[in-house]
Amino acid sequence: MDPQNQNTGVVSSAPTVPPVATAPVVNLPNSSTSVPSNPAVAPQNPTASPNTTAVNTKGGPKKLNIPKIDPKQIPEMLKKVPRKFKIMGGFVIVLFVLLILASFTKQGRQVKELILPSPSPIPASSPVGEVLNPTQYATDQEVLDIEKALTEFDSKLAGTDLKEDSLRVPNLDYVVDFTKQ
Amino acid sequence: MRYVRITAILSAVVFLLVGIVSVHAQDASPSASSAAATASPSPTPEVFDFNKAYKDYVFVTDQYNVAHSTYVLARSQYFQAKTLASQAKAQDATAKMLIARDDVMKAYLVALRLRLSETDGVSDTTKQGLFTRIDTDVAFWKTHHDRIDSAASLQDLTSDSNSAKLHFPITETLSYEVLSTIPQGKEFVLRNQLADLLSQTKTKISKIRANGDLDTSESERWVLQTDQKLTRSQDKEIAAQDLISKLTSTDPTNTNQKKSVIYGQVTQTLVDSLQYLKEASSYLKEVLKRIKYK
Repeated sequence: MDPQNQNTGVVSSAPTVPPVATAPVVNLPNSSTSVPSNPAVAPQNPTASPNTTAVNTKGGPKKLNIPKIDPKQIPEMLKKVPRKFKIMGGFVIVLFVLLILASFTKQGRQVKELILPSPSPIPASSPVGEVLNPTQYATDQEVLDIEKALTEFDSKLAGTDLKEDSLRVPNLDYVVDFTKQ
Repeated sequence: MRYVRITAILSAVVFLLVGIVSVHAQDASPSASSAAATASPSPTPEVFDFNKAYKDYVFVTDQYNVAHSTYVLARSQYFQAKTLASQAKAQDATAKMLIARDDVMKAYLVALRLRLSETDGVSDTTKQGLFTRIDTDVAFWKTHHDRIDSAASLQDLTSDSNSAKLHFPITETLSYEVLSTIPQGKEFVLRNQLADLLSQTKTKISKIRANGDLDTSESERWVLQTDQKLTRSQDKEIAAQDLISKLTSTDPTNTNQKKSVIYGQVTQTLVDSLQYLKEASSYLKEVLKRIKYK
C-alpha cells in the first residue's frame, strides 16, 4: 500500500508517483515547531530593523557592522587626527561662520539674492481681445484730439479730492474759568 | 606644504567674498552722494502761497498745544495751592494760551483765504465777498490778540476768552462756507470741461452724419445719455448749494444743526455729483470708440 494513502485507507490503482520535493525543515533554537528555511516561504521578522538587517543576495538577513562610538572616547580620537586636518577643519568652520554672519548683513542678502536663480517664466496664453474693424474715422485728427483731452480729463478727475480734511476748523479750548475747578 | 597651499586658497576665497560685499556696499551709497551733489545751493525766493500759509498754521498749532498744556498744569496748581505765586503763574500761562489760540485762528483763516484764492471755478463776486468776511474776521482775532497783554487779572483773561468764545461761531460758519465753496468750484471746472468735450463730440457726430459714410444713430443715443449724466451732476451741485445756504441761514431750525454736519452733507452731495461726471466721461469714451470702430 502507498504510504501516503495509509490514513485514508483508499487503495489507489494509479501508478506510484514519487513524493514531491519539499523544503528542508530547520529547527529553530527557541521554537517547538519547525518552519521551512526557504526564504520565500519563511515568515518575515516584523521586528527586524532596516538599519541592522539587510537582504543578502544569497538570501537571508545580514547584520551591518556599525561601530559604536563612545562619547568619552571622542577627545582621544581627535588627538589621533593629523594636525593638518585639524587646521583645515578649523578654517572651514571659521569660513562657515563668516558666511553665516555675512548673510545677515544687507549686502550679504543682496549677494544671496544675486546667487538665487531667477524664476523661470511660466508660459501663458494671452487672452484674445475683441477684434474691431477700424472705421475711416479711427485716425481722424478731431476724434483723436477729443480722445486725448478726455484721457487727460479722466486723470484730473481721478486726482480730485473734494474733502479739505487738512483745513478742518481747529478744535481749540474756549472754556477758561477760574471760579470753579 | 600642501595644507599651506590649501589654506592660502581658502584665504583668497574669503577675501573675494569680503570684496563682493564691499562692492555692494559701495553700489548702495552713490544715490545718497549723487543726491547731495545735485542739491542746488542757490536759494529760490519763497512765495507766500497756500503751502507756506499751511506750514505756518501747523507751526502755530504746535505752539498752541504746548501753551495749552502749560495752562492746564498752571490752572490745576492754582486750584491746589491758591497762593499768589500760583495765581501769577496761572495768569501768565492763561495769557500765553489765549495769545497762541488767537494766533491759530489768524493763521487758519489766512491759509483758508489762500486756498480759496488758488481755487478755480469760484466766481469773483463770491470770492470777493468771502475775502472781505475773512479779512474782517482776521482783524477781530488780531485785535483780540493785542488786547490780552493789557489784562491785569484772571477775571480779565476769563472775560477776554469769553469774548472770543462768543465770536467763534461766526468764524466757524465762515470757515465751513469757504470749505464748501472750494470743492464746489473744483466740481464746476470739471463739469464745464466735460461739457465742452461733449459739445465737441456732438459737433463731430453731426459732421459724420452729414457725410453719410457712417451710421451715427447709436452714437447719438449714447450722447443723449451722457448729457443726462451731466444734468444729474448739475442737480447734485444745486442741492449742495442749498445746503451751503443753510450754513449762513438765520432760520432757527437750521441754526440748531451743527455746522460740521451740514458741511459733511455738502461734501457728500458733491462727491455724488463727481460720480455722475465719472459715469458721463465713461459714456463719452464709448461714444468715441463707436465712431472709431465698427
